[in-house]
Amino acid sequence: MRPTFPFRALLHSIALFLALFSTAPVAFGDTPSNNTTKIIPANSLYQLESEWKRDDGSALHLADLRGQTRVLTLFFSHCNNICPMITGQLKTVEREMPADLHKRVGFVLVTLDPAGDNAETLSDYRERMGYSVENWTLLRGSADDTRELANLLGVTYMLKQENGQIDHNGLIVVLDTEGRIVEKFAGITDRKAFLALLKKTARQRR
Amino acid sequence: MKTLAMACLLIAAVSSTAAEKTAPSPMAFVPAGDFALPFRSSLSSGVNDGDPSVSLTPDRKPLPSNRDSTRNTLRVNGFWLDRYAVTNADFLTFIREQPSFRRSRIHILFADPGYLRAWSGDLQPRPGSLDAPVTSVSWHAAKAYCQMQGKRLPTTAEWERAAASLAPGRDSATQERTILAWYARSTQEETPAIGTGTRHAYGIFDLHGVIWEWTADFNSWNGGGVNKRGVRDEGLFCGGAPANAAPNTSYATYMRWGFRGSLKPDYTVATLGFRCARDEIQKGE
Repeated sequence: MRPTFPFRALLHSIALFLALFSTAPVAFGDTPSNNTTKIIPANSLYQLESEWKRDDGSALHLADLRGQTRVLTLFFSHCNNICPMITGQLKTVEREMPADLHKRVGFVLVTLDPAGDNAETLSDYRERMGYSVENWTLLRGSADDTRELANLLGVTYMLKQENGQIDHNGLIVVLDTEGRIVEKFAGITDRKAFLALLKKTARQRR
Repeated sequence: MKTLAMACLLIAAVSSTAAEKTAPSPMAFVPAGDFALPFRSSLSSGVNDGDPSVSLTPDRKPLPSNRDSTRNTLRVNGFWLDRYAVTNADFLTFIREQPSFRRSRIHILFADPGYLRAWSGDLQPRPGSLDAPVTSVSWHAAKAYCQMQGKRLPTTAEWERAAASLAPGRDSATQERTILAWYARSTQEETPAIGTGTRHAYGIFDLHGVIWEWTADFNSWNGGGVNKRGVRDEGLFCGGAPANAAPNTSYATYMRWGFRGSLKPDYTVATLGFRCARDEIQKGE
């Protein structure tokens, strides 16, 4: 009992329409229309429309991060106190993740020194740290957009000191597949619990 | 009305002395200069997380020889600043075009429930308040407004540099007294109209005396939290901190630092508004 051709064409065009609709920018606070496409939830970080650059130079909107559980933190490549600890912890988490989580969890590092970091320094950093392209996204945005993202995450950072360092709180934020904040960590003290949370978040159907 | 007329006259006077042939711009240019921090700090002059407004200048002055090696002035590049705070009328225009920043639509992440609380509806500022600065707006809304105008929020250093400037004929002691008297007054029921506060150099108005204003980096001076290593001003903002405040800066400045540090980006406060800034554009413009 296959559907007749026109019916399939109709389904196809509906799907196409929905697909197009869902990639259109979603206005903040817009009430979701009652179709079945995935609308970015109101409390999602992915409501931000700012544009970011990956370390390979390509552009990214935060909504492009949908679909995977994300572990996000702010850092900068020449950071010599708190960042190495945080990024080191994340690297350990990645190593200890069960195989099936590798496809469902991605790490996102956003530089909070867009003046000091560029695509090249970030890409060097990726190499130095051995971050795979599949699992690690390194981002750089404008100063204002970085400040806005930090503000939404609850990350505070001070102005650059003479030694080039920027004091900040090293929050690690876990986002669900739709960009909603699941939990924030001031460093990972209990890796088991952290991994359990990732597992639970990644396996949740939205 | 009288004040408005006086304000216009003043602007005209300022622009003619600045040899500007064009109509008075809604923005004023504040030339590069030093800005005094209300505390000693190890902040770099090339500060500001990528913001071009405060940058390392090639002819950087040697550190002022303060106690220990920390500095208490920062170099601020030239920048443009709105002469007046953004009014309810301005903000109404903005949210007509940006429905997502209307009171009924504002995103939960971007403003607390007090957003535009004085307005009686999405497009209804309080009657008679069109000339008053818009208040009860979150940092996110202020940022979005400025971005829409092709501008940005001023950095704290820029704002403080402009706010420390005096209109011709004013002295700083009088200014300081005016500011402290204003801080001591209880909040007025209605926000006064623009042009009723202090006057500054460059034809800028009301940096004190009408509202408090958001800055781009309002929370970046004392909120580092867990990672205080390397920050040498231990007294920063704790009880007795003002006793440690750097010389040549006012107690009022110090109070503003404390106020900003207590804000969160989604907060809306009935006495807190904003104005926008812009980088010094390329030469020849």
